[in-house]
Amino acid sequence: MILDATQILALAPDAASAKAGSQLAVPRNWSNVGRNESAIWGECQGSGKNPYRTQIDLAEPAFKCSCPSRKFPCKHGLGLYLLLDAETALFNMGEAPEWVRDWLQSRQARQEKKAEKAAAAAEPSPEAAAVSAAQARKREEKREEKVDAGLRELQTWLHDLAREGLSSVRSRGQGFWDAIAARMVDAQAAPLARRLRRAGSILYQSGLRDAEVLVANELAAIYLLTRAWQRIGELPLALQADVRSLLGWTVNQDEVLGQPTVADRWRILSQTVSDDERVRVRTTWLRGASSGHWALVLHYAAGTQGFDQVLHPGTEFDGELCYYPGAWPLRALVRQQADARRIDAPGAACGLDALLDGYADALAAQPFLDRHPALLDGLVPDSADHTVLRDAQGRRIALHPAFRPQHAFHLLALGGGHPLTIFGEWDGRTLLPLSVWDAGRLYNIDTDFIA
Amino acid sequence: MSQDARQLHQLFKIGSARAGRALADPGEPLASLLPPDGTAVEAQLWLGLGALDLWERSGFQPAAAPTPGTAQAIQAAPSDQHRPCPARAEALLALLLRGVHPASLLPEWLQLLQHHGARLPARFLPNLLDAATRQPALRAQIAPVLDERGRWLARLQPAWGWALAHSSAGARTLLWETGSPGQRVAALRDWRDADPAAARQALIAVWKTEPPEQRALLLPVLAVRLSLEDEPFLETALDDRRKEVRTAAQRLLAQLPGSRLGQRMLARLAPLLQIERRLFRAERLNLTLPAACDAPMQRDGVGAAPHPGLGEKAGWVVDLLAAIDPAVWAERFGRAPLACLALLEDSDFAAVFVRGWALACVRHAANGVSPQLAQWLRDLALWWIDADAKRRNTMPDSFFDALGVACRHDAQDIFGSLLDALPAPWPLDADLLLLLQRLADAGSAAWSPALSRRVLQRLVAAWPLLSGLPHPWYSRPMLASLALALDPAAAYAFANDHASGHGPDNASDTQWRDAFDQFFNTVRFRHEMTLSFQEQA
Repeated sequence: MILDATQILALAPDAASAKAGSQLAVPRNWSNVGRNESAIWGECQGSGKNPYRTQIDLAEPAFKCSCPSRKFPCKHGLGLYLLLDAETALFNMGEAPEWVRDWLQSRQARQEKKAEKAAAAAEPSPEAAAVSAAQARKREEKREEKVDAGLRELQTWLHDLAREGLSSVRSRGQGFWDAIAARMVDAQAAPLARRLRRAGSILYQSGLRDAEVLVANELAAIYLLTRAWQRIGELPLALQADVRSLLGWTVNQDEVLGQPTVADRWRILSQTVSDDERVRVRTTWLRGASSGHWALVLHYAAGTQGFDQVLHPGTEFDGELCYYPGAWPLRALVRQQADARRIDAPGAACGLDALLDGYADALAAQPFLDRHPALLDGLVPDSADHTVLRDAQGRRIALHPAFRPQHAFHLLALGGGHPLTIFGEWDGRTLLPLSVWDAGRLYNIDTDFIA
Repeated sequence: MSQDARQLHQLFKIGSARAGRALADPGEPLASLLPPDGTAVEAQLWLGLGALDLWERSGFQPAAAPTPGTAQAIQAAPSDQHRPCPARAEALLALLLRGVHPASLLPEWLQLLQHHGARLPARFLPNLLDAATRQPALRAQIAPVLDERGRWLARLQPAWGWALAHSSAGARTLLWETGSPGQRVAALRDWRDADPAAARQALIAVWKTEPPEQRALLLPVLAVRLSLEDEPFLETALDDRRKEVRTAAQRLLAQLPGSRLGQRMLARLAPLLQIERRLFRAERLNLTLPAACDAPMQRDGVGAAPHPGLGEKAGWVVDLLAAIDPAVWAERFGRAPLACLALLEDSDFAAVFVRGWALACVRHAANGVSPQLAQWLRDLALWWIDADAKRRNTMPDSFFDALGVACRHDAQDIFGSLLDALPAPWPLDADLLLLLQRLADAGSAAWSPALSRRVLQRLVAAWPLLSGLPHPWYSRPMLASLALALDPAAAYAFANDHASGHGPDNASDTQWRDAFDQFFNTVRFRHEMTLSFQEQA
């Protein structure tokens, strides 16, 4: 697939790269450009003596450049791709120069090696398997002990908090919350550490009127999780997997890819990127066109790296997904992706009542679930109260506090008072809109609206 | 929130140690979920809160719909009248709004949109309404492309009220009668544009009761579609008690062709002028300085402000000259403006005349540039190009703005004559680079392809000299302004033709490279903008 300019710019690791890249996309800066069926290449004169050699494998796309930049893709890569978009005629089909051939071959070799390795890992020798299983069990036992101790300590902390009361610990500031969070890091329960720190920041920084209620509910949810851990043996297997992942156990990607695949026409309904302590997290929601299954795909990128897999909201692809194990599977990995194109419909939307029923079912199966995807139609933003949407019957649907007030105006502008189809996350009380479908087009709020 | 939940939250807030009481017996279904008695209160509190939160989230009850009539119903926006914006142009607007390309290109994008007969994309309406709320200069370009949807949206945010001023005569009258001072000025300007006589009558009706500050704000609005019908009222304003009001009236009358004020000025000045015929030498314009500035002269604005570098009496002459249509002089002396300027060759009063004529051009250009005025502007500029640094300084700054406006709608090819008159090493003359930059600023995006090519040819011829300069201090802003003024298609073709062999390749300095790169980037983006509107929407 060849991307258009907006999609190419979405690959940029930051705004500065996007800008520099679009400024480089001028024929004047490039020499020896060319392409074949799978790749494009060119030489860009930088500040040094030798021009930088830039090449792109269009299939993924994958970038390679001889410049010393640590950003990925670098401005030259983006510039070359944008040049292809703007001046396709410059790129003559031809034989790839040696440096391009070398790279493509080495990429292919690496992929084959990876496949071999995966195959080898899938069928280890019996003795080696036994040894590594024993080691793994030992590590696992050690970790379980640590988590066990950590969660007991957390329960004591919560009991003390309940005895003293939130009002009297409030004056102790964020440090009070960071201290228990640090203990959870030591206990190898990193997700709890994050949630506790965030509870503190809701209390002190959010400025929300009902901050205390939100914090109480969040702490209660954490408490229930600690109790679930203590009785994990009594839980159904699938729910055990949820509890473990909420406490910080990760599932190996290869293991997930070994799960049964779900083939469908997957529509990409929204994408957001957020910062999570030095790592950028890209959250993409997909929905199967024929099955109606939801899927949440997370990608992580460190520092100035870009995300390696292209998933553009408003497009769909034929492909296979593998779900992480769980009682209400949502998180998935894309196993195979082909033939991306623009979507012509967002899929079946529902009303508020159907959403509430579905959410209740989901909670019954997986009570630790906080947010659930929802595609709702017939919504009109309230013209006076910008924190509320109204459904076809005029009932109010509160917007999540994280929804930016400027975006309320974008929704109003797009709808003009007419009903909209909105995709978002429902947390049981409020809706966080992530994308809007209007006039045959999907608007991903995070990228298509400018705050 | 249920009663049980409220109680638990309250307990958590004050703390179980302080509450001094046990948990009240929860009702069903919570009672059967909670562990039996004997569990600590604290554990019960957490389990209860957790269970109730789940209970409420899974059984969420949406608030009932308001009964019709009580809630404020939204009237949906009417259908838009203009065509939608082409997709490619919409994508470029996104780049502009994100700051990938300089925001200074936004006005041109809006102009292209209006020219194309299209409307703003709905998703960017809030951004553009916000932008124009911060920068009032954008409003005139945004208001025509808002269409129904934009005006509908503007009604929902009080800060965007300016977008509605153009909507109806009723809204305008309301703003005029009850608006803030700024809104009243805008409403009057709007009204004046639609119906000059009615707007003047409205102003006269409230004139006596307006506070002086307000009068000083409102009177300059009459510059919109100024005519001789306004003269009687403006004459009375010459006797206003507020100085700002008197100054505004003087300015308006001085720029009004055929005004009595202009005739009075001419009557005062004419006896003081005399063309001296000299044996074997060129003719010379002589000036006798006026003896005094009497009350009627002061009333007409003579001597109101000093002129830098000129004596008091010479300053009076500048004020007199500035209030007289410059076309009068060509007729009176029977020669073209350039020949009139030649009369000053070795006059002691050259600075007085140049300054006075230039100010007169500036004032009269406000009513539109007549062919005679265009000639004056051109010849004054030619005189300035030829003059030495000391004489150049006598030219008022505002002259170049007027010249820029005249060049923008260049029927007489003023710019072409100026280009031809540039002496060969012009890139070394900082004043001339600045002149080119100012003309480019004023002519933003309006130069014809032919003119653009001529400018570029001069520029390319001067490349070696330009890039030979040690630093691009002066030429860098000039290049940036040129990039915004040139016809994009012509400039793009030219830039591609001359990409090799000129500019970056033989400019080793990185500062130079940056300046050239920016120039080409801007030109290319503008070219893309024009193309994007040619696509079928």
